[in-house]
Order: sequence, then C-alpha cells, then structure tokens
Amino acid sequence: MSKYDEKGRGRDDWLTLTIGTPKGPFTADFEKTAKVSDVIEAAIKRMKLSGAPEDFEVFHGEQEFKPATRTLVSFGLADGDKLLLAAQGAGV
Amino acid sequence: MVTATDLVVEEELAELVANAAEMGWSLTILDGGAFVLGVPAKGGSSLFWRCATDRYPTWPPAWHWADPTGGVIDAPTVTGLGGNFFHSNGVVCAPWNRLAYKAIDARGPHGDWTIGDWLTNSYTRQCKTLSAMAARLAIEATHRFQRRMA
Repeated sequence: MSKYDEKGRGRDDWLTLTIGTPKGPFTADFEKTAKVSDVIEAAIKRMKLSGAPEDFEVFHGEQEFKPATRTLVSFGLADGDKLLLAAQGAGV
Repeated sequence: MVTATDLVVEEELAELVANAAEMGWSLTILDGGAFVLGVPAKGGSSLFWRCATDRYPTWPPAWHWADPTGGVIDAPTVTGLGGNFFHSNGVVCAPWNRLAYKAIDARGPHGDWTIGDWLTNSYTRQCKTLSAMAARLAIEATHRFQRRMA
C-alpha cells in the first residue's frame, strides 16, 4: 500500500481521534488541517445527531476548542487523542 | 413486561457506558435503570451523581448529587456549586433534570417550567440523551465547579 493517498497526503498528515458524542463514541481519521467544525459536522453525520453544528462544542480535557474555525493541529492534538462533543447547554 | 422506558434507557445506557469508557468517567449501573456517574472535576477531585431514569423520557431523569457509591445523595458534602448549572439550591439546574422542577422537588428553582415539556424547553437545547447530559455535567465539572456546599 502506498505511503501517500491519491492527493499526496502521508499518514503523518492525519490524526485518528475518538469522539464522545450524545449517542456514544466513534473513531475516525481527520486531516491535521481539518477544522474543529469539520469534526462537529462529521459527528452529526456519523452519529445521526439532531441539531446544527452551532448546537455543539468540542473539548479535550479542560481545553475548549474555540473558535470552531481553528484547525485541529493548532490545538496540539496527537494521534489517538479523545475529544468530547458536548451539546451546548444553558444553566438557568 | 418491557416498557418504552426500559427500551430507551437500555439503548442510551449502552451509549453512556461506551462514552464513559473512552472519557475516563466512572459508571456503576444499579437496579431499575439507575446508575452512578463520576467525572473528574476542577482541582483534582471528582463529582458524582446518582441518576434515576424511571418515566424517562416522558420525564427527564433525576440527577441527584451523590457519593461514589450512590448511597449518599443530596447531602451538602457531595453537592457541587459553581456556574449556572450547579445551583446554590443544591440541584443541577436544567430542564433535563427532574429535580429542577419545583413541582417535583422543593429545592427546584423552577416553578415556571412544565416537566412534560422538557424536550421542547428552549434551555434543553440538544441535551436530550443521557450521554449528552453526562457530557454537560463533565464539562461543568472541569470548567465551572467551584466547591462543595459543605
């Protein structure tokens, strides 16, 4: 198998991430240059979540991934990291 | 007889078990669809809730503050404070917590909410599954928890 995909991207350009969601976790590969919003959209699609991307926020431990337009690599993520997709909430 | 509640809770608990395993939360399943959830909190401690799911999802679950075993609930020593969710009345204040309704629990801050409308209450947003609620509790624990009530 080639070290590179059809677009010339090598394995080092990808992150395998596990994401906890309102319907359980899933694991997927994301390009390091993918945005946080891409993760949210992938989770909505893969896990068939109700709601729009702006209804969710992404956390890695105590770190909140904002703004959603930032790339994954800019948060210093490593292969195998686990993220939590939380529904926005309003305590009242 | 298997009820609709049994089916929904079984499905959502399986999702929560999987999330807990990945996220490093503790989860102990009790009888009757109840469970004890523990999550890491700001400052290096952990926070726990014993959750009752009877009548779910017609009614939201009841998220009681608890000790790690679930044997002690709603005591000041196990009740967290901080932010808008961890309310000074001693309950998690959200439409998805049965205890937030004054009609159900005297500590409930909200006499203005109808419990049967919890899924359409605008403050519920997408916190409509046990895993979504657990995730919100985990986030509040790491970001806005300040101290225990006593």
